Amino acid sequence: MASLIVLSLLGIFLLFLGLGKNKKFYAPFGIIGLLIALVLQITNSGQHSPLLENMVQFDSLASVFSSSMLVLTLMIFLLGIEYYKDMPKNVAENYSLMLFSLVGGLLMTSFANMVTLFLGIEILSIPLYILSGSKKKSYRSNEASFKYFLLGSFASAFLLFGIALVYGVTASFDISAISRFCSTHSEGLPPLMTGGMLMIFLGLAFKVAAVPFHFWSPDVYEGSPTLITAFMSTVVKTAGFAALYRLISHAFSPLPESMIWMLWILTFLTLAVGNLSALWQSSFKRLLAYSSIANSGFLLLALLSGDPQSPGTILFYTFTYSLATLTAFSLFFSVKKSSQGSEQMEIFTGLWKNNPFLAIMLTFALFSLAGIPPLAGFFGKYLVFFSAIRQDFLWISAFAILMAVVGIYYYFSVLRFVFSAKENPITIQYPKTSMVVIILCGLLLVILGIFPSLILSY
Amino acid sequence: MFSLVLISFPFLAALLVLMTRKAAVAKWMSLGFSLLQLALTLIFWHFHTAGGNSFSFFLPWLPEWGINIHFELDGISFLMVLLTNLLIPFIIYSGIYKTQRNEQLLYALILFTQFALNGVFGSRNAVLFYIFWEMALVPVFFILFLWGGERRQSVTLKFFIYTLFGSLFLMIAFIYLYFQTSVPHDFEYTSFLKTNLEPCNQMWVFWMLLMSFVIKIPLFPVHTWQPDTYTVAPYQGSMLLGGLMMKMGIYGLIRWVLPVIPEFSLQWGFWIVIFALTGLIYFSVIALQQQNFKMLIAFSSLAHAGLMGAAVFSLNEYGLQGVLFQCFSHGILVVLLFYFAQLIEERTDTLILPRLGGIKTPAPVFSLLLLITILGSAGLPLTNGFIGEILMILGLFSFQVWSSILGVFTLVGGAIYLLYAYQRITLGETNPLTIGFQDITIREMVLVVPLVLLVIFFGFYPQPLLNLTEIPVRELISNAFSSH
Repeated sequence: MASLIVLSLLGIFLLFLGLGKNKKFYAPFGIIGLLIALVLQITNSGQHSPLLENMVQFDSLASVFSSSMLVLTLMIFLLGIEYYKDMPKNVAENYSLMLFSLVGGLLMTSFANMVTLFLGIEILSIPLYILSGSKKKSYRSNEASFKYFLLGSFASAFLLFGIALVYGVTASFDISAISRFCSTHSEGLPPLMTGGMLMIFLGLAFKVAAVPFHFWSPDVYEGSPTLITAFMSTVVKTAGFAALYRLISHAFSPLPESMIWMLWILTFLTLAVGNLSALWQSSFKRLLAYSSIANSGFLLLALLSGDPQSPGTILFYTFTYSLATLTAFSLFFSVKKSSQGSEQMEIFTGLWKNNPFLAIMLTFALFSLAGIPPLAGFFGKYLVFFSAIRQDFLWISAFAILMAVVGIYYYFSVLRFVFSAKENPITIQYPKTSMVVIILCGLLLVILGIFPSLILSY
Repeated sequence: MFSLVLISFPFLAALLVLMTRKAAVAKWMSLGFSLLQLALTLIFWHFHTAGGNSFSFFLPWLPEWGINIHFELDGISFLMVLLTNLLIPFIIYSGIYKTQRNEQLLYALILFTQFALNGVFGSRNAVLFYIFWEMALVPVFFILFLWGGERRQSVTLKFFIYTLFGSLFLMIAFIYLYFQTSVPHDFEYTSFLKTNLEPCNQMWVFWMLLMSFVIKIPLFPVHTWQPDTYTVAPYQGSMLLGGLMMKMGIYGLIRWVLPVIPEFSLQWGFWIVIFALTGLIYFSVIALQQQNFKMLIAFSSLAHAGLMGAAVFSLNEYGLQGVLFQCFSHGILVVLLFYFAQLIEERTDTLILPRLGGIKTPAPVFSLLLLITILGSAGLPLTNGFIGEILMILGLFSFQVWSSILGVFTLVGGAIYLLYAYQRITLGETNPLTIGFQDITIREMVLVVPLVLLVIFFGFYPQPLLNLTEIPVRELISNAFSSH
C-alpha cells in the first residue's frame, strides 16, 4: 500500500520537476523513488490484511508480482536515461506516465474487489495510450496510439459488462463473495455468471494479447517508441497475468468446465498463431511482438493447468521472459540508432565482429527466450510443462513443445545475422547505464537458471 | 566427490581458457588441461578396477522438485567418460597448428563440450541428465555456426532444430515418468527403474524417449541432418559429433530406455532392429557412391550407427557389450579418419576421391597408417573394430539369425567402400595434385600413432574395456528382462 502512495506521489513530483527543464534529474529521482517503493513493498510483505474497505489486499502473491514489476520498471528507467537523452521536451511526462501505469499494474496484482480490478486496468492502460503515441511527429506512433486506444476501450467495455453481469448474479463486487458463490454453485453456475466470466476473461485476454485478441499487439509494438514497447511487453504482461491468475484462483474457483475449455482454445490458438506468425517476420520489433504473444501462450498453459505451483511458475516465467526481452530491446535500440533507425533484423549483421560482448549478451537473451539450459528461460518452460503434465494436459503440452521448437527457429534466425561473416561497418555506442542493465539481466538469467529456487521459494 | 571433480574440471578449464589473452597460450593451455583430465580419468580407472568404486556423488539441488545433483560412474558410464576424455586431447591437438579465428572461444567451447558430455554420461538424475544433454548441443552448435564451411548457417540450424525437437520430447517423457514414481516423486534414475507403467502409457513414453535418442545417433529414417552437418562442420566439430556426440544417443538408449521401459523395448525391439538394419544397408550403398571423402566418412558412420542401434535392441549381453565396445573403437577410428581427411585437404585442397590417387609413392608412412585405420573401420580381425562388430553380430545372432546375416553386411560393405576409397586415395597413378604429397610429419604422428596403436592394442587385448562393462551390462539385462 505504501508503495502505491509513494509511486503516485513520485509521478506527480516528476511532473512538477518537468517544469524546471533540467532533464538530468528526472531519471535519478525516479530511480530513487522506485527503490524506496521497492523496499517498502518488500518490507511490507508481512502485512496481508485487506485495506480500504476490502478493496485491495497485498498478500504474498501480490507483493512478489509487484516487486518484480518494480524491478523491471527500475531497469526501464535506467535504459530511459540513454533513450530520452536526445528528446527535447516532455521527458518528465513520459517517466511519470510510466509510473502511473505501474500504479495501475500494482492494483491489478492486488485487487480484492472487481472495481479495483477495473480501475487498475484503466490506470494501467490510459497512460499507455498516451505513451504509445508519445512520438508526436511519427505517423506510426500516432497510428499505434489510436489503434491501441480504440481496441483497448472496446476490451474495457467488455470487461465492465462482464463485471456487471457477475454483480447481477452474485450481488457483490467482492472477490471472496464471488468465490463463495462459485463454490456453493459448483455443480452448475447460472448462464449469466458464465457469460460474465467469459467477458471478463476476454477483456483480460486483450491485455495480455492472447489470440484471437492479439491484432493490436504487433502494430502497437512496432509503432510505439522502443522503450514503451519494452515496458508493455514486460511490466504490462506481468500485470496482466498476475490479474488473470488472481481472478482464477481467488474469485472464480473452481473454474467451470466451459471456462477451462475456453482457456484451452485460447492457449492453443495463442501458441499456434504467435509462434507461426513470428516465423515470417523480418522486423525485429515485430518479431518480439509475436514472441510476446507466443510467450503469452505458454503462460496461459500454466494458468490453464491450475496447478498449486502455478503462481510460482507464472512469476518465474514472466520475470525471466521480461529480463531477456529487456536485454533484447535495449540492444536493439542501440544498434538501431547506429544503423539509421532501421528496424529490420539485418541491422544485427556482423554484431559479433563489431562488438562481441553485445553479441554474447543478445545470444544469452535469445537462448533464454528459446529455453535452452542452463539459462533461466529453460526452467520457465520446464515449470510450465511440468505443471501442465501434472494436471494431465498432455496433448496441449505436446503441442506447446512443438511450438517451442518453432520458437527456437525464429530466435536463432536472429543469431544468423549476429554471427554472419558479412562485414557491417557500424560503430555501436553503448552507454554505461544501459550496460549496467544488460549485465544485470544477463547475470540474473544465469543465476536464476542455476538456482531457480531463489524465486520459486518465495 | 571424485566424480564431481572429474565432471566439473573441464568447465573450470574452459573458463580459464576463455580468459587468456593470447590465442597460442589458449590452445596449449586447453591441450594441457585436457591431458590433465585424461590423467585424472586414468587414475580413477585404476581405483575403479581395484575397488569396484562407482564414485557416487549426491547433492540436493532442488529437493522439493526431486532434482538432485547425482553423479555415478558405473562401468558403462565410465567407459563413455574414458572415451570422451581420451579423445578430447586429440581433437584439440588436431587443430593446434592451424590458425583459426577467435581461438580462445573455439577451445573453450571444445572444453565446454567435454564438460557437458562428462555430465551426460555421469548423471543419475533425469533433469540433470537433460540439462547436460541440451548443454552439450550449445557449444557444438557454435563451433559449427562460427567455424563451419559453406552453407553452415542453414545446415547448422537444421541440425540444431532437429536434435532439439527430439530432446524436448525427452523432457515430456521424463516429467511423465516423474509422476509415475512412488511418492514423494523424484527424478532419480533408481526411482525410474521401479516405475510400473500401464502398457498404453508405456507406448508413448517409449516412443518419445526413443525419438530423442535415435535422432541424436542418428538411425534411419531420422538421419537427414547428419551427412550435411558432418560435412559442413570444421574438422574438430566433425570429430566431436562423430566421435562423441553420437555416443550420447547410444548411451541414452542403454541407460534410459532399456531398463526403464523393458517390456516395450522387448516388444518393439524387433521393428527397431529392422529399421536400423535397413539403414545400415541403405547407407552402405550410398557410401559406396560418395565422391567426397568426408561425406563417405559420414555415411560409413551412419552405417556403423545402424549396426549399433540394432545391437542395442538385440537385448542380450553379447549385443550390449559389443555396442559399448564399438562405441569406444568407433570413436577412436572416426577421429582418425577425420584427421586423415583434414591432412589430405590441407595438402591437396580437395577431398574429391577421383582427383586423388597415387599418394602411396610420395607418402608411404601416411598410406600405411591410413590403411590400418581403414582396416579398423572395416572391422578386420586384430583391430578394435573387429571385436565390437563380432560381439554385436553374436548378439544379433542370438536375437534373430537373419538379423545377424544382415549385420554381417557392415563388415562386407564396410570393407568394400572403405577399401575402395583407400584405393582411390593412395593407389594408382600419381597426378599433378598428389605428386608432391608430403609424407606424414612428426607433429602429425603425435596424434596418429598413439591412436593407431590403440586401434591395434584393443584389437589384440580388448579385456580391460570388456571387463569394465561386463558386470553392469549383466545386471542391466538380468534386472530388466529376467522376468519376461
